[in-house]
Amino acid sequence: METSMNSSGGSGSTVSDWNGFFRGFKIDMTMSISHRIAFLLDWAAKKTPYTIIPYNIILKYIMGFSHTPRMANEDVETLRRKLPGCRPILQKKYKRDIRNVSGVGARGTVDDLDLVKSSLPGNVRRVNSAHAALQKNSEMVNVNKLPDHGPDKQWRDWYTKTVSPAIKALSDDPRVAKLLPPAPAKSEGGGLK
Amino acid sequence: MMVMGDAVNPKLDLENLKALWSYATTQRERAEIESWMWELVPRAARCKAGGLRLWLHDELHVPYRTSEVRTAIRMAGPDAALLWERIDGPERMLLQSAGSVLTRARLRAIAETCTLREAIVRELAEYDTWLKHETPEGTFRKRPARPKGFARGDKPGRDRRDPANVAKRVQSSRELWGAVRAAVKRVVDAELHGIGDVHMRDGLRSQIEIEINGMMSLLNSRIRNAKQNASLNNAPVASAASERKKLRGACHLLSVDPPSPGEYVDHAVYVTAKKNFRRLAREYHPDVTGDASHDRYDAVVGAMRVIEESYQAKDSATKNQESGQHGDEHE
Repeated sequence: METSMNSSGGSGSTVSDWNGFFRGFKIDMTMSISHRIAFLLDWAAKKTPYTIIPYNIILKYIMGFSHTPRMANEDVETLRRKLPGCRPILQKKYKRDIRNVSGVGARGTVDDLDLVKSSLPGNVRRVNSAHAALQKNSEMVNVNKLPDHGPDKQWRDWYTKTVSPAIKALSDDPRVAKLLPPAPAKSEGGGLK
Repeated sequence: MMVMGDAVNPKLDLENLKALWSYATTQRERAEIESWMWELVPRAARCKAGGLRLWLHDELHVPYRTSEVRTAIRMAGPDAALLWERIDGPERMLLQSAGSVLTRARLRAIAETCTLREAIVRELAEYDTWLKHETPEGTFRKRPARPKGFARGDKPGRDRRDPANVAKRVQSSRELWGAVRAAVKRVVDAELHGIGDVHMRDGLRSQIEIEINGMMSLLNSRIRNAKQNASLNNAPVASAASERKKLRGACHLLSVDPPSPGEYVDHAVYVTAKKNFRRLAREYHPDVTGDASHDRYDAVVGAMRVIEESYQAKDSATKNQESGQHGDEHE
């Protein structure tokens, strides 16, 4: 988006810029909201990669409004809640993932590198967190206190024969510890220039 | 046609007049015949709401506006002869245009304390300076368009698309018209007390309302034009417009709602903008994404600067206001 992201004025995008950005954008209104969001994110990712589209702008163009709704609008809130719903469509139909910048907007991933950099670290962190929680809980379990007869015996068997060896294997495997993404390079960002 | 100037022939019934109306070649004749027909209409039908206009629409499929204008010009009497000449003459002036001229002439007559005939002459002289348009039904002239480039939405409450402003405008308009109608009804009822003809009172009241409406629209357009001319000659408006555009752009980039025209960024918006700025800076920082997003990062930083400036301007404006108040108290 040449006009909206120019650095000359430092003004960023304007309404007219977004209008220019979405000139020629046509959407099939018979599609569901999630399909429309996925279509828009794919279209925007193709047109100008890495551009984050604010939620109210997404709403404006998927609903065909002539005006830009305010961020505090109830419909914008609903759209925010619906955004994760378009992830499977985006993945299956357009081979992209959604990059949601909380409170700001969303965009579709651009290529494999973008997917690896923006989506996988979150997934890996969740795996690590789940692994740590699993390990902590299993440490608290005393196997001798689990019932070895009656209907609950199957839980003891499940824990001793399946869960416990798996946790041990995961903990011993150095690859799990290495899953964490590389630390970002030291940056001076975050403040005004 | 032999009908012009003749008295109503009592032998003529409504059906004959309808046939006569269909053969009439000029609007003036039609207006006369309509008035005769109206005298022959049964009293029950005349007392119905809508009056002549509704009856003509039902019987002869005459559009409401057409019959209304024809009647208004006929009611103006010999003063409106010039208008009939324009309508039925070679100019073939559209009835709607003639109606507008008559309404403006009535207002002009009040404003300039002259006769209606003089006011019509002056209005027609002004009308002749406008751009002429031809249509199959006739001709009309249009007032020249306003010069482009007028910065709309620079002043508080001028953003006509804002739903809050629209609601406010509709509400105030309704209240105003409610009050005007009540006042007109009061005056007309008091003046015509004892006459008891509902139709006559309704007709008079609606006529007065139309004239007041026309007068108000004329006043509004004159005020608007005066303001527009003043704004066009005023250089700071242009800079205010560009500032406003810049602020709107910055707010859209940082996903916050722009303030209303003439207002500054408030604290809540500033805090949200700063939060969003940090998130976007993390996304677009050249150390994270490489040089490709350098422009985007600059744009985000520029946007945050614009919002900070607006926020600080609000602080200084508040301080100035407070110091001004203190100064007044000391004096």
